[in-house]
Amino acid sequence: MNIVVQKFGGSSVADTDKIKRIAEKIQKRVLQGNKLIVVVSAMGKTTDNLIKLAKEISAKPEPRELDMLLTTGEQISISLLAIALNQVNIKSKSLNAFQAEIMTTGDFNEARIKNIKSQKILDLLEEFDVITIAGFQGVNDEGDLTTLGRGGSDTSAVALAAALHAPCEIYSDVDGIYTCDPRLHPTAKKLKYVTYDEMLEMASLGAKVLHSRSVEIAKKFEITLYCAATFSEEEGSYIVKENIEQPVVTGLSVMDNQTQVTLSHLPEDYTLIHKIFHNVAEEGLNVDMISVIDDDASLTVSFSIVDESKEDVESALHHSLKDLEKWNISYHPGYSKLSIVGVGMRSSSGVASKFFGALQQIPIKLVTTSEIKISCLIETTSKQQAVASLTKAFDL
Amino acid sequence: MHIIVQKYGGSSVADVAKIKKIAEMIAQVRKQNFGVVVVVSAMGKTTNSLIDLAQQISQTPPHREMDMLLSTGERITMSLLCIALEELGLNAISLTGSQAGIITNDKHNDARVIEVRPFRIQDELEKGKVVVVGGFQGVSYKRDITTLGRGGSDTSAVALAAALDAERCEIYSDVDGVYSTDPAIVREAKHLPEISYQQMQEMSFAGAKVLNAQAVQFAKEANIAIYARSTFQAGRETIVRKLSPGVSKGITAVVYESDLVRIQMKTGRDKFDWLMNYFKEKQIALKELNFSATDENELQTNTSFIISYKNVYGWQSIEEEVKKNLIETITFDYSLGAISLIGEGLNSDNGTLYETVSLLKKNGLNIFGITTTAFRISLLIPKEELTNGVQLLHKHWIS
Repeated sequence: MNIVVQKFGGSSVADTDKIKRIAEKIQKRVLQGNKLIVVVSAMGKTTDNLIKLAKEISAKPEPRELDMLLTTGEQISISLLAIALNQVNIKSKSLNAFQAEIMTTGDFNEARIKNIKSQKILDLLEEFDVITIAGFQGVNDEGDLTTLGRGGSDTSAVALAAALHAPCEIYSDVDGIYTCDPRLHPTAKKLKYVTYDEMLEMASLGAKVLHSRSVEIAKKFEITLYCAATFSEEEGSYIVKENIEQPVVTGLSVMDNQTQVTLSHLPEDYTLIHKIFHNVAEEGLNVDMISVIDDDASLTVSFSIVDESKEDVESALHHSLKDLEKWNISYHPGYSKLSIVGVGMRSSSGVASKFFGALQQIPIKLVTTSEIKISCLIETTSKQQAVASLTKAFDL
Repeated sequence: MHIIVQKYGGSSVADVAKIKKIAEMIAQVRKQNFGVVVVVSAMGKTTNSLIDLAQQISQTPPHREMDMLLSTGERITMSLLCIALEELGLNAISLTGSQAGIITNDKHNDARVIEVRPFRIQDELEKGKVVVVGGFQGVSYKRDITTLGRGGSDTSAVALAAALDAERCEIYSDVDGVYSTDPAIVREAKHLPEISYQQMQEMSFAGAKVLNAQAVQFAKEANIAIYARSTFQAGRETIVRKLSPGVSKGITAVVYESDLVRIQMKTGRDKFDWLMNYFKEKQIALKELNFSATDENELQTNTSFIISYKNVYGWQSIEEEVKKNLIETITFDYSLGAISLIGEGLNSDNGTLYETVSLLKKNGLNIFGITTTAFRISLLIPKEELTNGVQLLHKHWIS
């Protein structure tokens, strides 16, 4: 059986006209000889509206009940899509997470998929050409519905592809992965191939095409991912294990709303550093781009956070340092983080020199590097200039 | 533990404010140490909007997919109600029809409850939780979601009450019980403080929208009393229960139904069989079927029957399909409605029937068909004469 998993996001199923158009798109694939698993999100703003209803009743809705509520959104889309498919004479059946046996942990609102019993789906594909499956949801051991958190439908699709050893196609209103956000850099090029590792760096850095978790699963099971626009015939981008024609730098990603936090005059006590970051992590806060400078008399620690976590970070820091007498803290909001990413950097030298060469005119606040990435923190006001220089230098 | 099952209809949960109010009512019952199981319908017009969405895509949506779609309506209500109960400090849990153990046959859109396995409900009640169950839905032995047809939430409630051996089943809606006729047409309509299972069933069958006929059947079998009440207006109620014979003699109610089609055909037996099979495949319930063969080889048969088409998804395309196959021999008549008199011992003599027919004739109403059972006399008359007919008959027999 030639199985393909496809996923359509909320904007692709926003109304019944779009659902009909998707049915026609799927019909073409069936006529080409494929059997399809189609994962869909809730229609348009459905999930937001349901959350709003719940919040009108309670500021903190019971997590189990919230999942029971939200999972209805996808169930509506899968049944409507199955109706549309049958209308164009494609034999189709919808399954919710319970029926598709997508087993998850019991963490309501952010459950993780444990396993999918693929045999049932395979059996159904003998009888039906298309099975539509509710994304974003699963079932815990008690038989209660759970949801997978942000980007959960992508995760559902990739997990199904892994269970069925099938390729996975993700359709949304974004037509592929670009060297840089076209809104910042209008001549950005669409990439035909991106590796898993590059995608993971870019996903966590703010390229909002795919959620990191789905890319992690794809990498683990070596599932070929394909991203393209729903209502376009134009070719999209493939996310693969290896890119044969590997450029040194594949893409530039940009993240705004960064705050630099600097702690100075700390005693030269490295257990303190551990304590600080331990407490911050306990609060579930992410810090990035950490630098520690030891000037033989005191320590200076600097790192970046997203603007909105400032208050939480502040309280975690004050908690960590409450026993110390002399220390100083400063916050600088209004920064942006720019990162160049490329697997080719592993085997290529001079990338850093080229990077700093391009940014000579721009004050850099912090820098971090990994094997396949260089990131810097700069003032957001210099962002456009930096993007222009970097895309030129690396031909992006 | 003594258990009370309550059911709240769509207008009682139409918005968030009403859901919060109901949560408070439930909290009051819980305080009296009852185990409380609450069955809810979809909010207000949700089900209709979902049907509308489906019909934008297809006039003949597969029944199984319609059930998948429509069952979300009740799930939204039940989770919101639980969120409201938790907000009041109660422990509550919502269960789908499937989780609540409501097992049905696989007749999608109009499934019958065949068994209730309420183990999970019992466990949760033991833990002191209020259990909120999505009405109108169940699960077939194929593990597909099914729905129970119009008024199916009543069936869910009564079936659960029977399975849990509940003290009683309370059905809340926007009316305070059952009336001798539709108060919107007849101002003198009498509130009925109690009514027998049998008469209630006949009323539902004849088009009264107060309680679902299968629900009443379950209540009758398990001898559970149903209390029909108004949600937001305390006061009167109707109790549906076993009444000793003779308590209610004569005619208790006049019921009418207008969304009917009368189908008549003259064909050979083969085409008759085709039509019956086709309707069976489309799961369409026939009312008042009359069949006669005019020759002994059944080459010529006369058939007429009634369908409540409002409850049939994609009725229009079904009608077209039938016409295509039986074009010259079949007629669809949408001009008729039915008035039914509900009572007891109605066919013991012909007096009631005779009086009714002459009353209508005297007032210039045309009768196109008559059916009688022990508990019901139904008359087919033109739709536009329904109101007049109901008023005349109610005045004559009841007020």
